[in-house]
Amino acid sequence: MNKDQSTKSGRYWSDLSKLARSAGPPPVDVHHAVMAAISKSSAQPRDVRSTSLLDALNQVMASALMKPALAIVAVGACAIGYLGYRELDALFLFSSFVI
Amino acid sequence: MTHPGARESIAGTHSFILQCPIMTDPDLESIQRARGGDTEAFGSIVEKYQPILAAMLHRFAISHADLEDLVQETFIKGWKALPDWKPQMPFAHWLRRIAVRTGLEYCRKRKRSKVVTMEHLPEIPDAEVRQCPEEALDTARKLLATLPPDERALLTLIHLNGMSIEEAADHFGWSRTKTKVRAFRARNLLRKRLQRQGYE
Repeated sequence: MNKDQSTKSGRYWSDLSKLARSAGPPPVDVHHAVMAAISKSSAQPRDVRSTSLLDALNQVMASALMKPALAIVAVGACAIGYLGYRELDALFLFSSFVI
Repeated sequence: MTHPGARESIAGTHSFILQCPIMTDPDLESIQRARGGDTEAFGSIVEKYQPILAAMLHRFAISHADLEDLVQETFIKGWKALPDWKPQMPFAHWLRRIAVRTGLEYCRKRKRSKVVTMEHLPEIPDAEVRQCPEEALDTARKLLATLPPDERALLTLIHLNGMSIEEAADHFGWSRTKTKVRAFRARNLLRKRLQRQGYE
């Protein structure tokens, strides 16, 4: 705001915001409204147990070993698929001789 | 109104407290009871924290009704998110973050005001601020309401709530540089608004 402060608009905003910062909040009482809202069954906190299960799952997914393990599984699945395809090809070839 | 598994969770926390004597959140017992579904315990949290949240959110809210809505919304979000709160985290700080997020959403939901209300600005030759703090805040909020939502929220946090660039960046999830640039642009935009009213 260095350049701004040299202008009238900059000075005005600077003074205004400083003064505004010292304004106190008006009294607020939302106790009954909040109690009424959270008493409804739809507004209950999530079950702590299910949350901790999710947390545990997230931790497992975020662990350092998870990425290499997933990569190995993916490569393995591809290899099995490819070998299966090759075998199927051989099976077709063999069946063409037999039949 | 007690949730299944609440007893285990409270017992688990108690053993955690015994293991960690450093942890001294004064509301820990109420929070744990509220996590277990005890609405009365949450009521005591509401009683304690509503002035703190009002102090933060009244800089965002244009009217008193909006302020009450924002404070209420923050508590309801807090109630729903209680299982996410970790005892290692200060509860007041956690609730304050929810309040700031609620304030940001409020700014994003509200339509931008196209007009700066002339009656709130002083005469041009005497451009000094001679208002009481409440009037000044009202004028500042009306001026900020003419900015795009994120710019409005950003300047509210920095100029009216007195947050540092780092703190604001943390709330927005932006980098420090991006926050600085956005704040600079927002101030330029505000200056243009004021210049349009004759403040050169």
